[in-house]
Parts: sequence; structure tokens; C-alpha cells
Amino acid sequence: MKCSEFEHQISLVPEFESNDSAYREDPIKHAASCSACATRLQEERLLSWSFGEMVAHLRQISPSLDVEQRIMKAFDRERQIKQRHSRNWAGYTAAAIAATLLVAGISFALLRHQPGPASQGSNSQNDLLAAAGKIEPPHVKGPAPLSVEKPKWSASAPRSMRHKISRTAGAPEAPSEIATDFIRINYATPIEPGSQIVRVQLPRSSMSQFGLPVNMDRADQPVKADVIMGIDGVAQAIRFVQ
Amino acid sequence: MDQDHQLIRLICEGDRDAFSALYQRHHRRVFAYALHMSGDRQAAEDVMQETFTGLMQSAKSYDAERAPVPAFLLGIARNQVLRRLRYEHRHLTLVDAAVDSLPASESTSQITIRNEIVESVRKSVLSLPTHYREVVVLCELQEMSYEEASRVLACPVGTVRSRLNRARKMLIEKLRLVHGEDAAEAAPRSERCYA
Repeated sequence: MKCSEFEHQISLVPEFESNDSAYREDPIKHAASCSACATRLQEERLLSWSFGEMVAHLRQISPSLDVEQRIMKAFDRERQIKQRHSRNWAGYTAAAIAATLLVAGISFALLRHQPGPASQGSNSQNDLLAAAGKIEPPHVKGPAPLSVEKPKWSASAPRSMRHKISRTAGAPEAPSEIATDFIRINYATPIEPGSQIVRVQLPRSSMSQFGLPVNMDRADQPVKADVIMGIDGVAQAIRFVQ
Repeated sequence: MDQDHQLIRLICEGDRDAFSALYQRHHRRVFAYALHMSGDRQAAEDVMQETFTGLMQSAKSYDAERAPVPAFLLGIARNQVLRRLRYEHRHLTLVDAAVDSLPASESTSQITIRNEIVESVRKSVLSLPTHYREVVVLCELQEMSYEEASRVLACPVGTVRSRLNRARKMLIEKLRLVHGEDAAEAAPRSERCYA
């Protein structure tokens, strides 16, 4: 065995320290014939022996008794803190649930008593108009249901259009304005609550686009109209006002 | 080992007796480790207290599949020791105890030499860099296997082995410097190894 192999063999500390002769026999034989390696072997032996002495000595040393008392007191303290925290959490949770239920109850009660919009849930044009009547210009009364009364503002209006003309319900004896019924422009979407009535001015000739008769002598004169604008900004219906 | 797992489970539930039992089973080992690493009895007791206090708080995170309870405890103790060494820079004080386990038949001079050698080894271990000192303390002084030490140190077994070899060479170099030829001649025949 060479000295380098000897050095490698004794560096395998657990194997060399075991009773397995395969690991010990050759190095020991080599040490018998090589003084340097013999010294090396002695040094390793001394070191291991020293470790053994240190281990044996430490077995005689114990920590002081008050250390155990301090540790057990710390354990008791920690346990109390954990119990207090768990009680607090239970209380907090109960309070949070009670608060949530209270808020939910109050919100529900408020929602139940809040008056809803009149046209909610109804897409009928007349319902919307009844609601729109509340926000339309004050001098324009809410439209009455369809009537077959003879139109007053145009004696020359064709018979076919009479049903589209209605006197404003509840109007005073001399109403300031008379309007047609609302004529749907857009049938794609229903008229939803929240739509707005916008007063516009159009050329009189535009009435013909909605099937209304137009006096060609006055075609270039403007006519007032109320347009129902949906919440998406698209015109839903129109009525002409005189 | 199953008993240790059971005790840990009971400690998680706040069982005082289980905690006391676990302390009685392992406190010496933790104390010995802290003492060898720090060289100071007071520091070792503080580390032991912090270790078991840390156990109270981290018992729920204990995973039996990763390491046995002794390795888990020594891992906590290791962190406490390293924290102390980092901030206090104390690792060169001595344990105040004499070595008196030598056979009475040997000469006084040899006993004296051996006592001195043991003290030198103790000082030398404390003067080693931390990562070398750890493997010496765990493998040689705590008598752990390479595998057990690797779990405590969270490093591969090969790393533990190579560090231990290097640490032993460093200690022998220190012994040569301090004691010269006397060291080799004073080495007794030990049944522990190399016999």
C-alpha cells in the first residue's frame, strides 16, 4: 500500500472505525513499515480518543434545574396566550356575523320600502310614457290613452291619422301644446326605465318619414318633437308637438 | 421514535405533560450540542431554553417524513447557536471541567499531557470555522451518523463527509503545532477506533 492510499483509507472515518478488517488491515500493516504513516495513524487515534473523552465528560454535566422551570413556565404562558387568542377569535367571528346579519337586514328593509319606478318590468309604451310624463316639460301634460276624438289642430288631417292624435289628458281648456302619440323608431331594444325625453326641433318634412301627413306649404318650417332617448343614447320613440 | 411523534402531536394540542416528557428525553442532547458549539455554559442554557420555546411555536410545522424529532430539535438549536455567533461573536471560551477519566496506572506526566491534549482539542474545535465545527460536533461529539447530520445541517451526505475529513486534518494540524511529537506518543490505545 502506498502512503497516498493509506491517507485515503484512514480518511474514511466511519469505515475505518468499524470492526471490518477489510478497511483496517492494510493501513495498519503499512503503518508498521512507514514511520510517517505510523505517526499519522497515531494522530488520528489521539484525535478520536480526545473526542471520546469530551463526550464522556459532557455526560457528567447537566443544565441547571431552573432552566427547566423557566422552560415550563414559558410553555404555560404560551398556552394561555393561545387559549386567549382562540377565545378572542371566536368572539370576533360572532360579532362579525351579527354585524353582517344586521346590515343585511337593514338593507333588505330599506329596499322593500323604497318605491320602485312605475315602468319597471313593463315594456309597454304607454307605461313608459306615463312615467315620462312626470319628467316632461311642465307645459306638456301626460298623454292620454288612445282616443278617437276628432283632431283639433289639423282639421285637414287625413282620417287614417286621427287615431294617432290625442288630446293631452287632463289638459286645461286651452292647452299650450298638443302632441301626437309616441311613435317607435327602434324596435330592437325595449324602452327601459331611465330613458329620457329630449325636446328637439326638426324640419316639418321629417314627419313624413314617420307616416304623418305634411302640409307642403309649410314643409320648410320647423316642428317641435319629443324624442325618447334610451339609456344607451339611441332614440327609441318620437312624438311631434304643436 | 413513534413516541416522539406522539409527544409532538400532543404538544400541538397544548399537553403540558407531553412537553415535559419530550424535554426530559432530549434536553441533554440539545444542551451538549449548544455547549460544544458555544463553549459557554450560560449560552448553552440560553440556547436550550430558546430551542424548546421555539418548539412550542413550530411544533405544528414538524414533518415526521423529513427528519426525526432529535434532528428537528437540533436544527432549531443550530439556528439559535448560529444567530448568537453572528451577533455576539463568542466562540472561544472554555468549559470549566477537568478531564479525569484516564486510567490511574499511567504516569502523572502522561495524564497531564493527555489532559492538556483534550483541552487543546476542545479549544481547537471551538476555533474551527462554524461549518466545520458543526460537523465535528454532530458526528464526533454527538455521535450522529452522516445521514442524521446531513438532515440537521440540510446538506448532502457527501458534504458532511468531506467537511469532517477536512476538519479532522485541521485539528491534527493544530495539535501538531501545540504539542509536537508529544501528542502522537501520548495517544493511548483506544477501543473506540484505530486499535
